[in-house]
Amino acid sequence: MTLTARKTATLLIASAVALSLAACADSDEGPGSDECAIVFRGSSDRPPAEQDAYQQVIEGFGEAYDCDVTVNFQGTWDEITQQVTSARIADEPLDVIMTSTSTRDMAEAGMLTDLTECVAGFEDRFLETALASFEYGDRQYAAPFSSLDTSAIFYNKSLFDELGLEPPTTYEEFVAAGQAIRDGSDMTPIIHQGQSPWYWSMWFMAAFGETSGAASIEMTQDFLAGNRPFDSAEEVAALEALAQFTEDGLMERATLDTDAEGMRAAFLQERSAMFFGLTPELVNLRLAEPDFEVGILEFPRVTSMDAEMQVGGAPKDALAITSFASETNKQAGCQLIEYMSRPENAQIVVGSQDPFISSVNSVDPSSDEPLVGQLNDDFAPHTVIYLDWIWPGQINDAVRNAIIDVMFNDVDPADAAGNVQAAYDSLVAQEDYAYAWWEDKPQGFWDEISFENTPEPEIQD
Amino acid sequence: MTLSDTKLHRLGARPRRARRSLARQRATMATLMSLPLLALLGVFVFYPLLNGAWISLHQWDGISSWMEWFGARNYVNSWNDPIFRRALLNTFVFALGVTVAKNVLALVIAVALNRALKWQGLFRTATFLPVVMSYVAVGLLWSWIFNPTFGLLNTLLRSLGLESLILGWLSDPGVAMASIMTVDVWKWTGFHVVILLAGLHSVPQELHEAAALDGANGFQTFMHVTLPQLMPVLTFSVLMSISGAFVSNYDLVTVMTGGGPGNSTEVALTWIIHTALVNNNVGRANAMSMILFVIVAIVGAIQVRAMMSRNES
Repeated sequence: MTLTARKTATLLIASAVALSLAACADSDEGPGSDECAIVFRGSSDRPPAEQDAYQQVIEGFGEAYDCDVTVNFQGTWDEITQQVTSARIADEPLDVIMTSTSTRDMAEAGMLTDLTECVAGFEDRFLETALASFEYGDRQYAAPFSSLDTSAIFYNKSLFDELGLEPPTTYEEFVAAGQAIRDGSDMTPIIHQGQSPWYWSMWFMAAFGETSGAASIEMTQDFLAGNRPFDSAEEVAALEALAQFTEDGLMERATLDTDAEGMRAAFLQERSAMFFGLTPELVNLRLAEPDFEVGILEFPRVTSMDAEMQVGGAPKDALAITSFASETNKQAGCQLIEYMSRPENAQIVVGSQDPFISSVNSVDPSSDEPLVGQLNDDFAPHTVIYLDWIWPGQINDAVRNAIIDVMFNDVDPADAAGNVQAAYDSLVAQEDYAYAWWEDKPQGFWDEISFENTPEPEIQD
Repeated sequence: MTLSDTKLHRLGARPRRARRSLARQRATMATLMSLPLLALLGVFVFYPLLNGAWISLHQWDGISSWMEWFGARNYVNSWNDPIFRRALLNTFVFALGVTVAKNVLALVIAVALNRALKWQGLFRTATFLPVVMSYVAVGLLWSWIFNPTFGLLNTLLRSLGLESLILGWLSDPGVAMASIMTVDVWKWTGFHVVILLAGLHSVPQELHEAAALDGANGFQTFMHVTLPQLMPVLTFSVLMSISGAFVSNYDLVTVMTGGGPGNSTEVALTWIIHTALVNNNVGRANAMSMILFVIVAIVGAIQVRAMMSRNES
């Protein structure tokens, strides 16, 4: 070997050793020390004022409980699963997180601590519907801590007044209103953001909420547990009701290639008189300052049943504790959740979101929005967890396709429901899917996600 | 062997040993110099590939710390998945369709731009402009053009009294894929125009003059002089577009239709990502990736062979 070659080899070996040493340098640090030091992580796609509110309350907790809390906001809301996964693999300290739709997946993967005992003493602080959104197998995996989104039909109230139309409540009234809109204006009755696949399921939720006799959650759980076929009468009736919307000319095929911006623009430019969306849309509408008055309607009654209405909704954010946090940090995390949900602290954080409906009972709803009263009186009591938070992804796809098929492709509702059942059968046969995943977990799983000692947070109201 | 041969052999022995030693040193040095690249290839290409193949034999949601051995079930299930088969078919249709369209269109435009035109520079720039735009920007731009309510295309058709031609450009399953392919062709044609223009410049002028002297008309000159001379460049252009078309359709499909309506515009990459991140089935997504890898490898091998035979000829 020449001198140059030897030098090169030596340099390469030295670099490799240096890199290995650098990688090992911090390996002894991490959660587990006796001093209270926890890491709080939320997504950064929230307004600075909200981040400041979190910071303020968490600093208060640090002072009150002599705990060093590192707060960081990074990534978007849907990246939390990857962030927690990365932290676990890299042995990176991460204790309290803000989570939402992916809570179920993370709980099933053993990434979240079972908070049942932690929140038991103060669970009445949270809206029941909101709390239920994060409960699987009678165990609580997160505590809701934000505004509660729900579904509503937004309508051009000025146009309705001009045409002498009363807000419709039944499907027949809805069809009559649609006809009057077509006859009296150049607007389409209703538009939907059909290009965004996940928003289709809200139509099924609203119709099924009624055809199921306000038992959509229970029937969905039964279906996923294999105790009830999807092509049962109630599900087929819901799909039949949706098919009517296009058969009666209320919605056009063009809605399939309309995205959220397109839907909003069509409504604001008075091309469409109504749209079915989630309550955060109200913020966008107010910002746009339309030339007409905006109203909200509940989904029309599609049957003559006298059951309660049900529409999909859920809290935007929730607080959870990672399962790989040390016992000390889990206990501190539990206390942090209690501290944050105290009325005065929840008001600072959740109040900063100016919520229309709050998932924390003590927080006052927005005072600037004239529709807040209607949302809290009429919509909040009818809001149940989004069914697409319960369905696995494959069933979500199948239901969305079934809705589009019956509304736009002339597929018989019974056949469309049969396709969803076939998707479920395939999921069970091919991937051993089990809805009640908590029934099959070994003791080691529960040991990992539980507190070693029953948490007894100091509760102050 | 004679005495003189032996002497010569001894005399030549030392330089030969020295040459061998030098060759060994050079080989060692070359190996050492290649190590960083090999390490990068190993970490970023071979390891993920082998790891992906390993994961494809398991059932895994991508976040749990455990995986369950699944054997070949992910491959069987992938193959039995009608949406994946449809996505593969769409991938082929997309690759083939845009390759033909881009190159035919690019050839026509290149021939037109090769002549002395007024505003030639402007036309060339305009043709190339979409190439430098991002897929997301292009996807959003065309989504709005295709928008059924206030999109430019339908407004134009309406103003021309051509209501009968108005279609659900992205909502009709029979039209949506063609709409996306049109956008891809629009975006990349300029790139192929540049390649073909360079090829056209290299065609010797004497050949055109000779053809003219022989009485050939413009079409005959193009068919018998320009096109044969352009063939190596055209082959390169086709190979470039087909290899790109297999793996660069994800952004456009995601932004414009998200694979819908009803999975009608799903391509292999969008369905693989959906399977991994929405259906939480990373094992099956890896099996699909392996299937796609084998298909693209076969297409790539055919491509390399075609290029080599072209070079040899």
